[in-house]
Amino acid sequence: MRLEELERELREERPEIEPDFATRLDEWAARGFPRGGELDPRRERRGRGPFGLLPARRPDPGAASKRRRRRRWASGDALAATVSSGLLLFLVVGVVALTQVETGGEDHAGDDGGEVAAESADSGRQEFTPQSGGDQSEEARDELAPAVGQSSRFQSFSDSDAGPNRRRQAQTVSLALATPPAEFRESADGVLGVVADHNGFVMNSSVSGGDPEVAGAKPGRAQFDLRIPAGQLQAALAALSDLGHLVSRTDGTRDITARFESAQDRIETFTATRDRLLRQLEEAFTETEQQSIRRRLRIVENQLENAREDLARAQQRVRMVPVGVTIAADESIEDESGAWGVGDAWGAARDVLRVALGVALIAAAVILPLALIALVAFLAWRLVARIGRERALDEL
Amino acid sequence: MSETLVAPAEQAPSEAEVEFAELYRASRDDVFAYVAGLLRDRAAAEDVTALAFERAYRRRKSFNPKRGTRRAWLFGIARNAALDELRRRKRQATLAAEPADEDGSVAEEAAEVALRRAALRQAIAGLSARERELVALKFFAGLGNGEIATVIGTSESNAGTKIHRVLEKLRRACDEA
Repeated sequence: MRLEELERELREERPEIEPDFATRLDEWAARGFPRGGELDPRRERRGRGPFGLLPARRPDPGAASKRRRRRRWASGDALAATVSSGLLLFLVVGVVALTQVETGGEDHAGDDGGEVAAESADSGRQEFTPQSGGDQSEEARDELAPAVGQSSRFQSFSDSDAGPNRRRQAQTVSLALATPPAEFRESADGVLGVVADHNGFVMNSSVSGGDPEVAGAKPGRAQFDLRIPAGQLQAALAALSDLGHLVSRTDGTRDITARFESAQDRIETFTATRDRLLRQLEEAFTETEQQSIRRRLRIVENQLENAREDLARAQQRVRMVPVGVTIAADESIEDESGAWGVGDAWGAARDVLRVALGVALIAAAVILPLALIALVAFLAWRLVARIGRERALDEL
Repeated sequence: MSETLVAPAEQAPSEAEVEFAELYRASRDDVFAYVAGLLRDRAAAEDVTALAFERAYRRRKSFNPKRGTRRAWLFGIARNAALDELRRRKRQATLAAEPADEDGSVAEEAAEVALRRAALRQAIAGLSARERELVALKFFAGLGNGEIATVIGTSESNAGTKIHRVLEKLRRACDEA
């Protein structure tokens, strides 16, 4: 047999399509291959008999609208739904991650704040000394006084803990606050309230101007020289800073350990001298000798009293921290708080972008590995399906 | 065959739908012939043909001209559907009788032609599934060697070589019969 002849006969062996099936297929195609229709092979596979012999299906009044919905879903809406689902997942993952991060931060702050509050309440009389391990206390104080800025690098301890090598530090703090003119008086009065609340006292104060009831009054300005117990210094500074906009803060420390030691040495020396003079006085025989000793004794006792006063002043200097507060009325403050300008909008936009970027990063960190796994699984599934198909052909 | 595919909604059909309608009209009988030749089961071939066109319709926008002709793309889908059907059934169906055979026209053919046809059918039945697929693609569906290569995933020259070997095998079988 010639090849041409074989090819012709093979073409004549071509299976021809049944006219009835062709007609039904054309109708199904004309309707856009709706799923679940009379010609849908999957319906036949669920037990409705051979494809070409399907019984007529009872007409469904809502079938047309269902088919339209399915077609729309299959065409454009599927993509939109997929994208929407992805974005929703992206957003949910990001928000959950951010919420967890924020919750963790709040818990941390709350724990530290509580510890510091208890420590401050129990500390009583305190003085400050340099401590290399004082970072935790410092962080906690920062949270108590968030507007104050950098806090002191000293940790408090009671007098009973003071050893021979402890350094005595005398602190000074000065705050400069600015308030809107309308709030000046309230802020100035608030200083007294803060001092009272923290067991401090006012050494000097000066308040001028800023009276809203006086027409043409000068801009308000107030100066306070306060003494605040060292143990409550940070809390008091936080409260003072809340009275206005913090313009500046100056912290100063001075080592007065030598002053302590000098006073203590003098007390010991004068006490020993006084005791020795008292013994000499008991042993003196002549009136002249006794008068001489008494004169020297009075001098020594005066010196001893002076030394004790010096020590007491040094202790008081450590325990009560001088805090200078200056409050000035500033009209620009009111302008900033009252109006919402381009700068505020820029700041808000920057915050929103920062949060959005954070959400995107966190969500990407979660979704990308999942997407990679899904991609690998999809490729593996395709490979397995291809191998299975080819194997089915070989096994036929 | 003259019926055209209508758009799903009341809007004008898109370009993809128009092209698919043309593809459907040009390939309906060829797809059935290929699937029937591969599966050797008319009922299953009808199912798979319908399924293949439905799948192709759903994926009509995913067609990439760089990867072959539309017919090759369609026959690739039909091939996957047919092989899925084979995997599902796990059985070998017998070739359904052709209508020409059923209406008794064989009796009217000349005896020599009838014998030759019988020998050819026997030879086709003796082919492996892969060889029978090549015959179905080439002579039942009328695909060119390039399209066949795309469908079965090989080069055009390799596809041509395979088809030639199958033809030689069929010719030998027919001559020996």
